[in-house]
Amino acid sequence: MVEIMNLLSKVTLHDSVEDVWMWRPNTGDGYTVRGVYQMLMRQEMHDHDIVSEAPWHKSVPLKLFICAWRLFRNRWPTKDNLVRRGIINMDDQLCVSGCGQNETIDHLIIHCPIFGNLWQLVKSWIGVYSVDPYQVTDNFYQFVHSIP
Amino acid sequence: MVNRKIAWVAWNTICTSKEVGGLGVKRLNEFNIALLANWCWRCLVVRDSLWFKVLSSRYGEERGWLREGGRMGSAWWREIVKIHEGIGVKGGNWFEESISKRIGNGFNTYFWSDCWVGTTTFMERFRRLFDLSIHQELTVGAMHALGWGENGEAWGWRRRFLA
Repeated sequence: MVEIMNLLSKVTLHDSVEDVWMWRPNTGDGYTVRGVYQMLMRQEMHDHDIVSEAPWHKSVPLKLFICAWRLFRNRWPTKDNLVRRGIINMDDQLCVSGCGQNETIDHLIIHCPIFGNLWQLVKSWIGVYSVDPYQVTDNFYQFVHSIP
Repeated sequence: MVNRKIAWVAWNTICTSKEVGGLGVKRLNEFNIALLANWCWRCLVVRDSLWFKVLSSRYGEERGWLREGGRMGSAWWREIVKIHEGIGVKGGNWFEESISKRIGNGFNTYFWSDCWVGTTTFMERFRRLFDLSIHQELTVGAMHALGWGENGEAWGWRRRFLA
């Protein structure tokens, strides 16, 4: 009783003002479906990771972006991934280029003597010079952070 | 399924937003709840609209909110009631906990059952007082007019109150 009266003693009413509902999670915008959806999903969010820096440009076709997204998550059907899922045989995981090494995402994109060389060409074409990356994600970082 | 393909990425990852590294595909369940709850919100703030008047005359009003309507309620309306009451919905009572009143003259806010001071309703916070009160249905403005100071008329009890 004392408690409720204490709370009420701090209340002042304003005769000419209507009471209004407030949406507490976002008092500025009020209720938005977008905001509430994010609120409901918040429990399931991941920690920060590399892919979150990926620029979703409207000018990049969606299928290309999804392709890159899968690349950063190592979700391409490379032979090592196919072996792990039991789709192809253990002894069938040599790189498609015929270079003689096992096909993994980092090999295919960076270390393969056939495909990996493309990066040198791309770099000289856009005029970026940098050390050779070791992993796909390093390569991505280099490009994102070295282009002015 | 005959043409079952390889699942490369977990749904949880696909459904997180792009800002945190997902693909931003909507989870239908949560998105549906967010859309339905928009109606709960609109039932509070757009009261002079025709659709609200229709709902109001069909289901009736009680303490500033529409009645649930029981079995005569439409499937749509029953879902909305569930969200408003926080029953059987993921996250429990999140809707009620997210709304509060900014008080003006107090005549549009229920003293006990709306949240207008702090983060809970007085009904929840002072359950015993609410149970004993003879003014359970009054607005903030009406309670103020009765007087909520010491020995104020707003404090009328069903039995003698021993504080």
